[in-house]
Amino acid sequence: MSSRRPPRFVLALLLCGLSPGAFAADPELRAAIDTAWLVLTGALVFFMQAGFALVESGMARTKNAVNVLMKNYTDCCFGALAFWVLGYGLMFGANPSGWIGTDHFLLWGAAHMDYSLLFFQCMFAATAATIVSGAMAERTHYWAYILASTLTTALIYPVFGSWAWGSLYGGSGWLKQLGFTDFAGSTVVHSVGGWCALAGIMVLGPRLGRFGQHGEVRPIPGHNMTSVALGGFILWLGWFGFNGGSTAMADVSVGRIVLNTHFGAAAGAVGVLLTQALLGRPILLSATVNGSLAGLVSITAGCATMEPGHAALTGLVAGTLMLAGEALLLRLRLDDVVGAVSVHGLCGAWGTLAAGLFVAGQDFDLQRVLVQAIGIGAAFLWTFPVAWIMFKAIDTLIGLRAGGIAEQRGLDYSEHYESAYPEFEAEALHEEIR
Amino acid sequence: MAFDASASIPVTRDSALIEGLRRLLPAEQVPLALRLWEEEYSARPGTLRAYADRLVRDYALSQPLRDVHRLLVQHLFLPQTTARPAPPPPVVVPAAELPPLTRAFVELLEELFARFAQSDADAAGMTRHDLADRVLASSLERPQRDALIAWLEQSGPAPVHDYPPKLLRALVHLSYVGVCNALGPLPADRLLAAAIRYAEYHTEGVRQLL
Repeated sequence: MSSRRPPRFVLALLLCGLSPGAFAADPELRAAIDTAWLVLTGALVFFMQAGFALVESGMARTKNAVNVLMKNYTDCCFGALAFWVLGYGLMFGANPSGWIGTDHFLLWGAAHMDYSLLFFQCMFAATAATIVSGAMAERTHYWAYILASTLTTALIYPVFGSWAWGSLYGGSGWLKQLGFTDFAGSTVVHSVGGWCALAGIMVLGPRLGRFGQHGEVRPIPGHNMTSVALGGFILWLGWFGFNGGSTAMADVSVGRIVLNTHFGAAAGAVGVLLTQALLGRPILLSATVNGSLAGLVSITAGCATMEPGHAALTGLVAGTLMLAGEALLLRLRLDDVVGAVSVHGLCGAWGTLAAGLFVAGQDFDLQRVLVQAIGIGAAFLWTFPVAWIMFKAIDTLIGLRAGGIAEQRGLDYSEHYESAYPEFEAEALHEEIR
Repeated sequence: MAFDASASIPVTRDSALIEGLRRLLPAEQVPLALRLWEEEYSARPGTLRAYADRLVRDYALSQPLRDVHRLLVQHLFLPQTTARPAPPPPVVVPAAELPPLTRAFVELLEELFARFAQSDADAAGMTRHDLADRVLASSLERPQRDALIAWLEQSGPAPVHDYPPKLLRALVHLSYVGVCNALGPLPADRLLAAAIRYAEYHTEGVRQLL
């Protein structure tokens, strides 16, 4: 019975293991295996949304947990549709000018591999968008955030993406032509998300009482460190798909890619721990998780081209850089709830630079480093001003910031009328939810 | 019947404790320290030492715990005739005369500001003043407005009028903002939650103010 037969890609994977020759000779088999690889890794990247949701909601207060979860859950819903309608075409469509894709909008009646790529890239777009939600948590109107997130996925992210990664259907992005290397998106995905987050928190302002009149910083610890740790583990796991899947094909290079990814994450956390120990500061779980995320972000650009030692070094530096970035933001009185700007923006930029510095067999090529720096600068110069204008426009038109009373009651009540912890209703700072 | 927050404490023990507290704290902090005793320690036996320890920590007393404890014990065992009568509580509100929501409002804010003043008396005073300014700018009738302002400025008894819920909610929120700005969001959340618990224990309708 045909329904009892193992799926074709499973057979293909088995065949691949048993007979490399057969695998190379049969293009259909090769395509099936590549598709299986893309779908599997795309699913892992999708699982990262769960990681982001857990990390971000854990770092927020109880009264805003539902709001953070809702934003994470739904930005990838709106984002997927927006990326299908507009983003994929802008990013990967034929790009004769080098500045923007011009076709493959609303993909319809396309080849199987195109659908696989769209699926995989949808997950990447959602990642770029969801980075913003954590930074702006606890004081942003839900619908205003969703609008910003959708525009980021449909416009801001794909335009820069077309410069660095375009195109799949003819033509080439101008950064790509220069030789810019960003294998899985330290800059294309993470810095873009980080710089959007920076613009968002600048327009939004800090949470009520976050900074004192004399510049003192009031800590607002998250409510669930278990959730933060679990989210960190899930993101780490998902990143194997994020970087491993960026080969877009089942390939032997994946081994080194995921090993570098793992080393980057581990070294990022170690970098944070050592820095905190050297400075005589408490060893915080939240910072340690952010350290591993900083390592993951930074190794994303060069994971396919670095030696493992350099991957570890890149992650180690990222961990320390992440702490410095967070301190700088606080000094500037910028309130980033989860440290997204530092983790994704700053460490994404560092990772992209490191991808130019450390290339197996061709380390420290200054010409390459210069191109990387141009790419990093271009990402900032495109993303930050456009995102700032977008957030300003949203603020003017529909209001970006939830009112002070919403901050008192919590956005779970004011935006969703749903409590994450109804058993603790006595602690709630709002009217009873009926 | 008058509503009196300290009525549950036996008068003799109240007097004796106040006498001891007066030797340790500035006069304006004595009612707050007494309230702390009433709420967290008086119902349990053998807690005087823990209470003394709390006083040393919360009020940063220079005396060692041993001396504070001894002082309190000594005063609790004073002959009743030597203990001065307890001072009147800060606010004695004729509960039956208050409209329910006004009563809930008074209970909530009294507790909130008592706790707020424990941490930062100046900021608490400033916030009360801000609230009074807000009331001044409202469109309330003169007697209503003046009574509320006087109470907020701590120069009059609790108001007995009915007030628009919207205004009372706004005043509660402004109080929260004041605590947030002075102490930070986390202490503000905790303080408001504690004040809500206290007020809900004594009256109804508190949630309508949130």
